[in-house]
Amino acid sequence: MELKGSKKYLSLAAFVTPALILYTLFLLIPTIGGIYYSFTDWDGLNQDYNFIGFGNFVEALRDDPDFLHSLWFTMKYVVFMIVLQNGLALLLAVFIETRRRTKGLFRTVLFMPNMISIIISAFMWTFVFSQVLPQLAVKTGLMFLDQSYLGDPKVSFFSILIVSLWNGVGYLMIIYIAAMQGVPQSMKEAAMIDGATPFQSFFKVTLPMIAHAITICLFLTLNNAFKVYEVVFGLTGGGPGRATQVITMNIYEEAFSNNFRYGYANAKSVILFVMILIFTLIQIKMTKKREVEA
Amino acid sequence: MRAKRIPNLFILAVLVVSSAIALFPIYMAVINSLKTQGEMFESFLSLPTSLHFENYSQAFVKLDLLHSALNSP
Repeated sequence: MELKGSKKYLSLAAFVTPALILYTLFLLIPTIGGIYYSFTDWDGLNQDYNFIGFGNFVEALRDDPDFLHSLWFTMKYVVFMIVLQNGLALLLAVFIETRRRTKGLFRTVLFMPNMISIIISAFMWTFVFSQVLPQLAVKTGLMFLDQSYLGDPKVSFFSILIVSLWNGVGYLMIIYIAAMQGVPQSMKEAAMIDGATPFQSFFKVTLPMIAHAITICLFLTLNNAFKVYEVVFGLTGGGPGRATQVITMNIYEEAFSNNFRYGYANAKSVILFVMILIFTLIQIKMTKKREVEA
Repeated sequence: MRAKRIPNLFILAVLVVSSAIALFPIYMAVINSLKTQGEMFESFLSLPTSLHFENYSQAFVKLDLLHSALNSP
């Protein structure tokens, strides 16, 4: 039955309104409120506060070395995560797809770390880094294993990276495997008959055909790497000092644990939000262009 | 025309090594959860000589795990 005129819009509105109300109440209003408070010097408790324009933003980006350091640290982390997580996931997906009987086994085992909560895996790795590996180094004589994995900021950056990868690669791998199974067999066969080597058939056929999965995986990695908190909290707690502090930790400290400068912390959150927005928009625009249809 | 293939053995080796890395911390957590404190610090890698399941019951009671579990669905 075809509804006509205003009746059609009424029925559409009836379906949309409940979701819209919840969305507005729990997402839109708090977001706008947060952006509003980022222009004030509110301390989170006081009834009255002053509107100070862009003062918070100027202070965060000019006079706050801790924030700038956490910004730089997070950017470094994001770059490494995007390259390594997607590279490793793609490699493992390709390798698993070549197996016949052990395919399911490897897929299960490599996905397993993803089922453990991030904070638990950070604690498990803390145990491995601080106790098991030093003992292993002494027993086997491989002294390069005896590093101060969580004490030296240069090394602990890579410790954080290892744990994040250990936890995150499995998920992307599953997405890539699913995408690869969607590539029509006939296209691969056609490429093989035309004399393409396995490498050519991967780069010219498989990779363009899974471009939509690459878009999703890059988006997920970019998004989550900017918002990283738990791994760093579980491993180093931002220390020593503030050497491994990430943006989210800096914001949390500003708002809830040290200074109670709520307005200023909101300004930092808005900066983080705008950064994620810009980077993901660029990324989506770039990768969407490369997607092809079979 | 079979040139330029990645050797089968290499693929298998990569998969086995990455599986080992994926399982290692889980394995460590499980075997050390069954040892006594002293036995654990003697060697983290050795298998437990006797299975101390009372660690689990103690964790359940001391950390009030049931309460936390109800809190975190």
